[in-house]
Amino acid sequence: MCVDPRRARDRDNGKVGIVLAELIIRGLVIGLIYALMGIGLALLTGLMRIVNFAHGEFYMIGGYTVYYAISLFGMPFYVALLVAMAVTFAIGVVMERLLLSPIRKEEVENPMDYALIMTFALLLFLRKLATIIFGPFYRKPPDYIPFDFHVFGITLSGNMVLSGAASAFLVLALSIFIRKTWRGRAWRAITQSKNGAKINGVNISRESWISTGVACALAGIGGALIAPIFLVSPDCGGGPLVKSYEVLAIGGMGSIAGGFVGGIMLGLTETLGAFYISSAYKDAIGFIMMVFFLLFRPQGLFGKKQHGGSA
Amino acid sequence: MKKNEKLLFIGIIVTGAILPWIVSSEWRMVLTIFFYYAILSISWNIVFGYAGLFSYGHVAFPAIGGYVSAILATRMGLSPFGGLLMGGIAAGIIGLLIGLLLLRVRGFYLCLITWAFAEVLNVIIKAEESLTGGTGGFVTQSFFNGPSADLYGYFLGLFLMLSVFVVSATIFHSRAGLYLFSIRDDIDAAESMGINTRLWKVLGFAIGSLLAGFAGAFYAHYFGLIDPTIGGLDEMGKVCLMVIIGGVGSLFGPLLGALFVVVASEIIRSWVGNLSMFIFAAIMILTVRFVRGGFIQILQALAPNFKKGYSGMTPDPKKSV
Repeated sequence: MCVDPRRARDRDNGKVGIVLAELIIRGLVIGLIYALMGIGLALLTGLMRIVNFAHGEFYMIGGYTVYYAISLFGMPFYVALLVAMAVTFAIGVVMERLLLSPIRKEEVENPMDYALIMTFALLLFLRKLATIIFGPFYRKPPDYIPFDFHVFGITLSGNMVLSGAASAFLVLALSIFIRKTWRGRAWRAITQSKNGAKINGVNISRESWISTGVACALAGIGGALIAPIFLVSPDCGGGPLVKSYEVLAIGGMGSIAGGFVGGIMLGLTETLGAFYISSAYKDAIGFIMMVFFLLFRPQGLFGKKQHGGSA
Repeated sequence: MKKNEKLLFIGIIVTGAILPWIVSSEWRMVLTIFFYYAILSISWNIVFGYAGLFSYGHVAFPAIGGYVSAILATRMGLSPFGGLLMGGIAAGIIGLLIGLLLLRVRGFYLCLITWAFAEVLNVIIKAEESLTGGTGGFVTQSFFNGPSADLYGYFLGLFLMLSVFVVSATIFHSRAGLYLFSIRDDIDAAESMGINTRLWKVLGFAIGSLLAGFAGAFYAHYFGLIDPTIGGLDEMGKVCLMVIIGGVGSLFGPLLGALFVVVASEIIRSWVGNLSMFIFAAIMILTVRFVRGGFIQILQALAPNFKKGYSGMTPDPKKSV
């Protein structure tokens, strides 16, 4: 038998095309989860003017909540996802009330350093607590959608489709919320000028805990959505924490569009870079992008030049 | 140094000289590990506590020092002592370069960039297996061989720690220290007083990196082994913990914090396994929340007469963090 070389090449090209398409879709989905977390972080950083190192731990808590809600209480997955959001929201509020509110009340001289150290301690605390309670094992919640989709010869797992769609929906919902509602306008006002917002009748204390809760809930739902794909373990929050900071740096603070594009950029470069360049240097790509943006374009992709020095 | 400090310093020397003869060899090793962490904490305290630069990638410098020294010793036949020197200098030079880069940014961005630097370095160390041995690291020479090698190692560690402490104390009481404090407390005011803030920021960062590089080289040749965990974020957590618990920006705080964390984790390990980090994290949260000056502040509250000259400058609870 003689194979026409041209046809064989065409077939191979087709295969490469499909692999590429699957990679791109995988990168998109992962990027959307990163965007979700990064936008939560950007919200928090913009409103509270602090850094939250424990952001990744809420991702972890979200994943564990979903795992136990399904395996222990037998909830359907959509209820479990909502429960994960509620739990991380509550923990976020507790964190803000107990540990971060002194920033506003006691007039800490250097709130940025205080928050850095405090949330870093919280990161260690939650991670070790999770190891003690849940054990150092990897857990996998059952697949949310146990079948695959086939589109144009590309295979998409149901989990991928669900997490991509849900995070895109949440990002959109948040951006509409921030644009259209009174509270969203208040948040934008606080980001621009705290005192200005206060004068115009915004209760800073209340908005602080609500926004912290929302940011943490976004991280929690991110972790919950991706749990069947990436699995859950006590220190699974480290990677997403790093990624959300990279999204924050690339997208700029307080910019939802920037976070969205930044997250997708990161997800794509990561999956494609791991495939085409080197999987060992995969993690370095994002960091180098982050440093580049911080040094040469600190306002992010779409951000405007900030007044009065950076954070 | 002030009089009280000199007394305390001599006390440390005497205790350090006596201790190895009376404790078991296991505890001698714990104390040597304490010297390593003490050097690291003191150097981070110079960067964060004195100059106010929250470097989240400080453990990259012991990694540089350790790897440079170990590679030179193993592949080029340099003696470990030469390696120690070269490792420290390499870390100092890279610290200088990073410090120059950091002039562009402030506060939170600075933290992210140093973090990224440490992570990228860690990725490189893990990926370049032919040079660094990858994740498993590689075996290198020890400083000393023979039956009492760990005793000599102990004294070398003690000597290094004391020298680093003297450097830290000298900075603390000198004009340079005042420049660094002023940069930490209010950089705009410092600038308006005619202080060359750019120069001192870079110098503060570079000195901290240099000292940390020595610590890493010491670690590599004391254990005769180096692997990427030396530059991992868990280590950064420990260093952070020691300085915060001890007292940020004070002279004896990092020493005290390192001693407490190393000794306590050794004691805790024997009865509750790997709970130690959890307990320390809880202590750290409480410290940051309630006693921002750390142990030093508690000591000063307990013994107000001792306060004067004990740490030179009272760490103001509001300013130290």
